[in-house]
Amino acid sequence: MVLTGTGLVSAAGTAKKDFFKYLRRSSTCQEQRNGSKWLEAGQLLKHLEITEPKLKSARYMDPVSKNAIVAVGRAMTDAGLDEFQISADPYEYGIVLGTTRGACVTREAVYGSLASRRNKMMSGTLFSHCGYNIAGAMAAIAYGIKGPNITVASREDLGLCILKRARQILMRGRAHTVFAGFTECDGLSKRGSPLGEIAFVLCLESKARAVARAAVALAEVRVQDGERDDSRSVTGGVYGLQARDPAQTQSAEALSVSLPGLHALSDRYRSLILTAFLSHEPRLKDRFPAVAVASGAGSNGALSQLLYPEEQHAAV
Amino acid sequence: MDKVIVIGMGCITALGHNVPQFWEGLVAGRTGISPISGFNREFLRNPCAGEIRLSPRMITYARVERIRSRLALFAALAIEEALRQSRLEDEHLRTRKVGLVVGVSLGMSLAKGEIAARSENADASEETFDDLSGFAGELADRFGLRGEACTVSTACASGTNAVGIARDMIVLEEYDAVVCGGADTLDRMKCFGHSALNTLTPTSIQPFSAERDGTIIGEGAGMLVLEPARNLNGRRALAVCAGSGFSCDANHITAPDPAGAGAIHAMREALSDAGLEPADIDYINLHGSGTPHNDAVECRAIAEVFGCAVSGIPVSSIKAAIGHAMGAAGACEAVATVLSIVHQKVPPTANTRAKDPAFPVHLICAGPIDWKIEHALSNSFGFGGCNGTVIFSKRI
Repeated sequence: MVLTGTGLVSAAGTAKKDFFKYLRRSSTCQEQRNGSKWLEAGQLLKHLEITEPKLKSARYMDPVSKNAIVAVGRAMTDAGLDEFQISADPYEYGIVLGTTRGACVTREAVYGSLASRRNKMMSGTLFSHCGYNIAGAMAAIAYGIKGPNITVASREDLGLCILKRARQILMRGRAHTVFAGFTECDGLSKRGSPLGEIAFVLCLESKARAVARAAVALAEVRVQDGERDDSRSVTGGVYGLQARDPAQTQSAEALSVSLPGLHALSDRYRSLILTAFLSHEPRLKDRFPAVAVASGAGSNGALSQLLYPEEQHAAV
Repeated sequence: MDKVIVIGMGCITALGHNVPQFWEGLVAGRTGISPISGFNREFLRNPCAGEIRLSPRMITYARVERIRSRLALFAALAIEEALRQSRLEDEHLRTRKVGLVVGVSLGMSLAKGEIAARSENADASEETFDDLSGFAGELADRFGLRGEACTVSTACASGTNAVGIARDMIVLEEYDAVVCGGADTLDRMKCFGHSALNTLTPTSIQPFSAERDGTIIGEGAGMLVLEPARNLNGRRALAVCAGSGFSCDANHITAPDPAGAGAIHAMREALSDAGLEPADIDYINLHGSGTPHNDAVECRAIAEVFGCAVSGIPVSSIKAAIGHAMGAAGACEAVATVLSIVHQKVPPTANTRAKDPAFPVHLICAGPIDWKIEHALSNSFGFGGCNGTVIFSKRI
């Protein structure tokens, strides 16, 4: 599968270059933004002054849904896709989203609605928006995406789990394009993390589809299982692969990729973020034909590998 | 491509605490729906549900295994039963590539400990959580599974989608075995939520009948052990997991697409995945939630996919027997579908005396029927428009 686009919404904004710059510099996003106070959960889009018609398509939406809609939309645009293309073949597009707590803001509101009605009834609207799959569902509704729509959760290897599910969908021919990523809304103040509220989505396509529509392939993405006790499987470890065949990891050279900003993110998503980051890293592209990202020390160790195209479409 | 077989199953529902009890209850047309005892029934639209009464053995198991939530207890009991039947030894689990995919809808995310006393069936000692990240991993650790451990949450299609994903893992990623299924629990918040949405019946659940007026909530877990056929080694396979289909309605957050387009796509994709034609299907285990709109849409979709053959294919729903077990529903229905193939018998739709005359399907409702079942299909449709279909076959 090939990576053709990235979309995100975080306290560092919605632009990839701002986000990657933040990862390199590790200064807090809030300092970049008028030195304001840490944001409450669900206030990110308001803080970024993002208002899009898609965000008003339902009477109520949880922040994870709103953020996912923005991130999927940005990934579509980055990959050169639009809604008209999707509407022409809606079942060929799928969504895989990772989340750990999902619509936790709405779940809190559900309790509030019950209490305000003297524990006799609750709001049906809020209840219908508190499922873990709500973000994927709302993004699908927003863009008319009718292929597989899967929400997953796992431990340290969640980033890789997301890539694996996307690969399954593509390789089994269930769709030719998958928007794969995650959406979380822990609130920035809760963990003291500037990236507590974030949605991050990759546009992944089958090679054949990318070629057919002459898409710019940033990298070919592969995933490889490892063992749980694989000593190499330190989440976020990056290895330059000398061999042309990226499956031959014996010649891997451990690389020091300094991204202090990554520490503001949950470990479980590092491999996914690194996949996007490394696909835009020209210096690495010059040195290695491929790189590998380790994932999941606490679960099953595994690698995602990026094979850089030598030139446009070379990898596909 | 090597066939993917079902080698073991486990199930815990309101009908019974293991697979034989589950099947016996289904075939007898019994229903496990009864007045809720685990929490306050006041103000609920319906005071009944498919609630599991914990037996002394289950309570002991939870204590010995240090399991502190109903969700983990149900899942662990079903996995243990499935692994026992699969005859996968501990050594196999340690040395082979064995994964776990568990479907959960809301799980215990709404069962907050601090309000347990007034509105939940989670007592103070129970572990209630809304972070899904560790659920599958902890179950995998408990059983020594060393492969990927992943939780899938696609509302009421979770269990079915988990089976589909597990099958794809074996086909694509050379897994030696994948334990898959779903688990979910009942609590007062879910009953309130479905009351508010008018999806809960004020009377009794009667899937596909003209009098249907809503579903009833249940809980439990269903698990299947899938393996590639090459690993059989003289063990008896229960069925082949022949194909699966996925889709999303992208229409409405709770209501299905009126035309049933997503359901149609999921069924057709599963048929294509299994290399079958609609006429090859001998039994359909319905999503059959009993809500007026959902049943009508499912019937429309089935009629569209199966055409003129639809009146000859027996169909039934088990939700009136165990309640709508949400994240576990599709997995329990997958277990029931495999059992239908094993026993060559179609279980009846409990509570429903006659099908809605507007529906062209062959609904089995008076009692079980003996039926030659080579291929059977099971549907699940969830909130958010998530759809899943799996097909099981007899011939290995």
